[in-house]
Amino acid sequence: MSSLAKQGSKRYGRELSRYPHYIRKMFDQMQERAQIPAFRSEYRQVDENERYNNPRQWLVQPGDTVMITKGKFAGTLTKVVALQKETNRVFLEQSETKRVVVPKQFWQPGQTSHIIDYPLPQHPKDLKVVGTIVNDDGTEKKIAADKLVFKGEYWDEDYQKMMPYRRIKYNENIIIPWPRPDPVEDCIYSTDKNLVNERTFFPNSIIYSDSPIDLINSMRHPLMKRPYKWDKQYLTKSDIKRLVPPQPLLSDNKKAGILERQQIKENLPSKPLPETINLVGDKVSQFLNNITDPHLAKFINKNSPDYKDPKDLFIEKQKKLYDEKIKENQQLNKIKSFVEAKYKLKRTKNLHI
Amino acid sequence: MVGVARFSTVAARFARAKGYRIPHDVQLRKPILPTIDNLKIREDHPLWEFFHEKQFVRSVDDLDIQGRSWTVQDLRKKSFEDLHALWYVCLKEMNKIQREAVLYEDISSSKIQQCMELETALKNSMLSIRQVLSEREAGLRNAREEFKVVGEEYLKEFKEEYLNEENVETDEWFDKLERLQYAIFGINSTYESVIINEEFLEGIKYVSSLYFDKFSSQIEEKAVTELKDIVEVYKVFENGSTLDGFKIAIENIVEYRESGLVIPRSKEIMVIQNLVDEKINEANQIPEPESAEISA
Repeated sequence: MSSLAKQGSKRYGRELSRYPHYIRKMFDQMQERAQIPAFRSEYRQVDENERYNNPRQWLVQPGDTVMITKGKFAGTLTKVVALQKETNRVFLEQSETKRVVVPKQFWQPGQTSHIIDYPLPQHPKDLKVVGTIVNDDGTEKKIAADKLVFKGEYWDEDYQKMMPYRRIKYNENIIIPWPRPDPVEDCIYSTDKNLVNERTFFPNSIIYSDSPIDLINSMRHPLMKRPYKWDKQYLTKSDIKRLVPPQPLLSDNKKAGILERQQIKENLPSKPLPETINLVGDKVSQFLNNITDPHLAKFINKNSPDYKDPKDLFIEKQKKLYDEKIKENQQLNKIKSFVEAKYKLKRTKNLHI
Repeated sequence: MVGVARFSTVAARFARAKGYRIPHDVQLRKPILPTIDNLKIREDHPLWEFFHEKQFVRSVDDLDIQGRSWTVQDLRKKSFEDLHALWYVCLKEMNKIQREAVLYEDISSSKIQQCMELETALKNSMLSIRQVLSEREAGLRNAREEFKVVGEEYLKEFKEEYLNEENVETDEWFDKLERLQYAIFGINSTYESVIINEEFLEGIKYVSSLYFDKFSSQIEEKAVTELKDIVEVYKVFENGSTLDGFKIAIENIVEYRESGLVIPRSKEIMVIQNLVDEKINEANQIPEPESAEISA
């Protein structure tokens, strides 16, 4: 076995993930010390299982317009240039930089000084994605999404994979589309897309196939004792799940059930029928009339709609009497004033009644 | 020391006794320096397969890969021939990359990372090819096992359908029969790389029974009520797909019965092999039409 295979292999190679975290830290520090300061990373590498690998985790993609919310450049709008997968961070067009000294052998083309400003990557949680919405009068407005949610998926032709819809939380009708990625040029090892999709295998017989008869012997030694993975006689749960096509969320029976229940609901009367009212009323009155307990009868009489309080009745009676008296007095006063007016001219002085 | 035959003590002793046996007229020439210009390698040397475009190591751009390895889903569409070719393409590339990786490793270059990425991609492709081929073998074996269980019923259903059909002399039915006999019995209608075995015999028996049951009721003369022999079966299988052909087949059978031969079961394969060989020879003697060449 070559030393390359040793390094790369999971079995024989030295795998950092096998060590405990404090020893891993020591190795990281050793590695860092070995590098020149210019190439030392500001942020430590993230473990492989914690690295982001899908757009839902990254929230942004190269080409997105974002607003920085932290640090010296808080509030500025920039664009995402690249993703740094080792640290779960992104490089921006305009961001905080670090001054580093670069030895001459590592100079980039066009570099004139030993000291360069090296951009520091930013974590996506310190960024807000900026989208544009069109108003009713045709003007465009930029909005920064405070929080994002991902609902639904679609096939993206440029990314060549299923991409989630990126929506603004609490305003989920607003979708911020993913930026268009740079087209990838084919390298010398690339195969043409049509050639990959072309189908050349057509199984049409159970007696013959296009492969040689003794192929299985070259794939696997015939004397091998370990059970062959393809010889298994049973299907596991996951096998069945893979082989059976997905069921629709609502089956036909369920849909029919929902429709039936809806129709029953519509046909139900909204108000009780007069027959029902009479029936119920008769029964209730019969029950109430047969009550023998005087206290309960009193209580029920009290709650009937045409019950009147005796106190109120008394007050009403008093009020009536009072009104009658007032009317009488008014009549008397009228008469009195009439009489006074009649006899005023005759008895001008010292009139005493 | 000038090299002497070391293992021969006689030679050593002889040399010591008589001195070195170098002729006096030999002139010393200039030593040949081990430079690359002095090495001449022929163009078709097999070891060139370990070099990318005959370069010692390839440039950075050539090592830059954009794509991905072949997935199992991609490869399921491909025929064995394609997979076989792709396996060797991967293997050759693996040889090149591993040779270069050793060189980069010696000088502890950072290019080794790229080499390893490429190697992983190649390895994944090769594993996928193995997986697809294993799947196919297992699928074929499972299909054969499955046919033992449900095959009889299927053939019965097919026969019923065939007999109930009014007109079976259509292209659709000819295609159906052709597909059936290749799929289940492995009988190719052109006898291409044909192997006569039990399955072949079973196939021609089934197909001829279809023809016989269909057309024997449509013929007025009832000269032949059943097929007694494998030769009769073969004659119906060869010609009986149409009513006219079936009539000819029946005439042939009547002729054959006059000879009084009956083929035993043990010699069925041999007889059919001879008949099929005759048929193939007949087909080979007819010259191919040259219309294709003229149009080209």
